[in-house]
Amino acid sequence: MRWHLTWPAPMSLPPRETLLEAQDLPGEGELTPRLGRLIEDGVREYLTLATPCAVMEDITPAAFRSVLRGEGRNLGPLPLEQVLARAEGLALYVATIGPAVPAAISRWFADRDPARGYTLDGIASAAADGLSLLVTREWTVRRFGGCAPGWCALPYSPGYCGWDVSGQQALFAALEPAETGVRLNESCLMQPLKSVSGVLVYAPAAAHRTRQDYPCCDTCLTHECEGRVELMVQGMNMDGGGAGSGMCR
Amino acid sequence: MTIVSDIAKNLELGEDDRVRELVGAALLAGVPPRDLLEQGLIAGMAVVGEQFRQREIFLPDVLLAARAMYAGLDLLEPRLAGAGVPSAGTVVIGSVKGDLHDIGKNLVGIMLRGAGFRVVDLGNDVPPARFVDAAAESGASVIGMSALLTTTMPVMRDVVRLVTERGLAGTIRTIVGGAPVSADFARDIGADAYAFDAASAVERIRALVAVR
Repeated sequence: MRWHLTWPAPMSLPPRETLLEAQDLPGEGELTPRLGRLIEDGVREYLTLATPCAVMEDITPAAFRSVLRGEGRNLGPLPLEQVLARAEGLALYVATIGPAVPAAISRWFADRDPARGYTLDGIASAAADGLSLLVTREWTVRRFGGCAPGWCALPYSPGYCGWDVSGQQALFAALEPAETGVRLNESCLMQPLKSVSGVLVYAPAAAHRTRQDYPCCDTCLTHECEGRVELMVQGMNMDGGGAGSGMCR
Repeated sequence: MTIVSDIAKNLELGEDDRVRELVGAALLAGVPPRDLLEQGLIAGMAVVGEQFRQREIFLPDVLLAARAMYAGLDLLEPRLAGAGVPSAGTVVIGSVKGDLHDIGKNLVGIMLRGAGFRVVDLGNDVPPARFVDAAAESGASVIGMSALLTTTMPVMRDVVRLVTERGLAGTIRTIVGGAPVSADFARDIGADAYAFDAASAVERIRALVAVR
């Protein structure tokens, strides 16, 4: 199955505390009025300009193995392969907040107003991250009617955890996401910026909690995957709407 | 409080309209553009930069101050050019070929201008020859390169190699930065310096200019 999704801009806007965190700003109580105004202006502009959309399509394990192999540059074996071994469903996806917000960010910098540009950039980045979760939610509901107890769908993307970023080429070749307007340049960079892509994997929640002794773990600078996966598993198991909320029964 | 220190103070507060107004008034009153630049705008940005380093303010606060700095610079730049005011140095910056991310590079440019450098910003997706040509043409002493993708990092090596091939390694220094870039990578490709963030980029570039 293949789905083309669109959302109203407010659906893609992360909660305010997420926006503040994304810009290393303090919590609401400690925010100065001028920084608060900056965020409000940025949110208003984002809501005016963003046109979030996505395309997602189921893919068989065999076909995905070819996508994952890509150009053979992975730092394998990969943690994702451990998850795939227990997966019940897979789908490729590409999502974007559209071209207008990145264009506005560039304009702010060109117009010598870096504060507005930087703030809108932070909001857009957080929103693009949230799109992966929105897509995951939609796919799980449409494909499985929501996740079964103890099961969970999570997104995995090229460029992370040993899956070389050159894998974008194979992903785009398999999905052909023309409906979204997103394309790749020769560096495997998605245009417009603030777009996300990857594979959705429906598997037991425990399967997503992978070991930490893969070759890619040795070169990882952050080691934040464990906490991030745990947060996403928990997030996916909450009811509600909007970016970052889940779909489970 | 003199009008120059008033400019610095309002810049620190991010009051761009007030800075524009004060710089305009100071020029009309005959205050030398160089004083307005060095004791007003650059001095104000130095205070803001230090507050940021001490974690007393946040990056958007710095950028609001930068907006105020630009408000003053817009009025000053035409007069500075005619007055032969020396800058701290000229730096060519850009995001390397294939990379369209430019927020980090933009922040470096803002910090450099705030520190009195002349900045030639080539934008993003910049091929190696363009970096070197621009540096040679503008008399820059430093090329600053940014990359946010592992796939575009090798372009940095191409730029460093080209500087050497053209016999410019003694006059043009190179500095690299960006999320996937490290000090080890900088050493490996033969770059002269690595900067972790925009603030440290200014310090490193100051050091590179000083040892020329």
